[in-house]
Amino acid sequence: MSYEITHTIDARESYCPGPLMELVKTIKQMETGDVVSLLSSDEGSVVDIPAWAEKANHKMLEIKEDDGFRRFIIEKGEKKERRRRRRSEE
Amino acid sequence: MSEEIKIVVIGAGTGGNMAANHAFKDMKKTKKSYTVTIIDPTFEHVYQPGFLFTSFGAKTKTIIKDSRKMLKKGINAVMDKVTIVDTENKLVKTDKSGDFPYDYLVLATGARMATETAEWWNEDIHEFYSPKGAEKLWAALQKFEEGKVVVSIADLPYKCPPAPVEMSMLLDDYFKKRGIRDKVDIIYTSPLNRPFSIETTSSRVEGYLEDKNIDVRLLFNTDYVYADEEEGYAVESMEGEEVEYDLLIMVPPHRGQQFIIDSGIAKGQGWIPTNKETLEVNGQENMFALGDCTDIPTSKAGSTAHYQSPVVGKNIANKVMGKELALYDGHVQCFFLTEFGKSMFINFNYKIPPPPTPTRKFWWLFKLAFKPLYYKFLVPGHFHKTIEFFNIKVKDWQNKA
Repeated sequence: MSYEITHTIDARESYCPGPLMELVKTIKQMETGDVVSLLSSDEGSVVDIPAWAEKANHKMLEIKEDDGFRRFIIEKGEKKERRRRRRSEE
Repeated sequence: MSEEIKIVVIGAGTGGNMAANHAFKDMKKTKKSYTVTIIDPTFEHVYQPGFLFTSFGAKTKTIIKDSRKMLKKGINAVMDKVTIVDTENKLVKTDKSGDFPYDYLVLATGARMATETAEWWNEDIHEFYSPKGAEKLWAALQKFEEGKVVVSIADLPYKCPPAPVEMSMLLDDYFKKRGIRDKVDIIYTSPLNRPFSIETTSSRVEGYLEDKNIDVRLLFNTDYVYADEEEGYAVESMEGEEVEYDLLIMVPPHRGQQFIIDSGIAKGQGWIPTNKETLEVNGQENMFALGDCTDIPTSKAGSTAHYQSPVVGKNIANKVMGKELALYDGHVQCFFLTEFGKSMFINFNYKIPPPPTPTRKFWWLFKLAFKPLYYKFLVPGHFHKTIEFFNIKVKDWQNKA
């Protein structure tokens, strides 16, 4: 799979606030199409990260197993439309 | 390096005060001549865990003290605003008090509330992250008779990850005591797919929220707040959901200090890139950072600053003596209020999560006793060895089980 990583987060050994919070924080500052690599040693991430990516319209490109941690590669998707924006277009 | 070693600390919150006291004590071991100077614009030391109490009627004056009274004798206190750090010439420049050269610099500059970064923020949104905000919330709560109260989070990161969950549970208790709980819906929005970030603690919290009939919306990251008659009153998430409110309590957006960005020490939101173990600032010489101002992936909390401060003190002395640096292990501990009268206690580090311990009256009483201990002994550094003796260590409960 080919992609260019534009942002990296090392959230290994982070329990609080944890890898997903680090990811949300970073993705908010990224542009659509940017790719982030997140390292997490938290077992919960394998459920949390894909669930959030799907709900927030981001693309889960890859999950790689490594030595005691996982590497999640996520591409920022188009922002979901706001009600106000939708109304103004009607 | 000049003969007299100059240590400058910026910020007199928990981290700055404690780091200054530790550095002042630990530098004695070097047998060199040194000065410790701490610079802060107000020296008003706010006991921030107290906001959960002032939001429900406790007096603000009980949580603000003059931090100069908590400094060891011999530390110079300068009340002024830092305008820039000249890292090349190792100078801290202030608004009115001139320049302060340093050999070692400690940044304990905290997080500022940055409501101006949210285009939708308005004065009817309540917050409990400032003395005035908590007082204003208390005034609004007393007038609230029925409707939807939403507790939400504007942006990440924010201080004290348990605080919005605690607020939701205390609201339940407050409205029950007023006898109007059946007329009030409490809605808590979590950025995660569980109510609290740490799974072991969250498993307990889920049960408490359910028992209290608090409506939890998961994977909800605030994107916009509607607040007018035409559009209605609602919070919209970046995941595309909406919750309506009659009273909105929002954790405000947090940012690092502008002069840190202007000095070239940090970029973006202004969080200082910091080595999570040695607490050295990345890319800078003889500079340390601790507490809320860093980019370390752990809780922004007074407890974090508390456990980081001895590492900073030791590491300045160790650098002077050419010794190996001490390492911060990620130790954080905090109370997690579930109602007025009961609290959980969570204690963890980088390697070990907190055990799923239940809420207890004991921890509530401990929380109440903690504030005077904090002001009289912990921050001033009195009886430090005794306090460390009674310190609750992180136990490897998983492997033991």
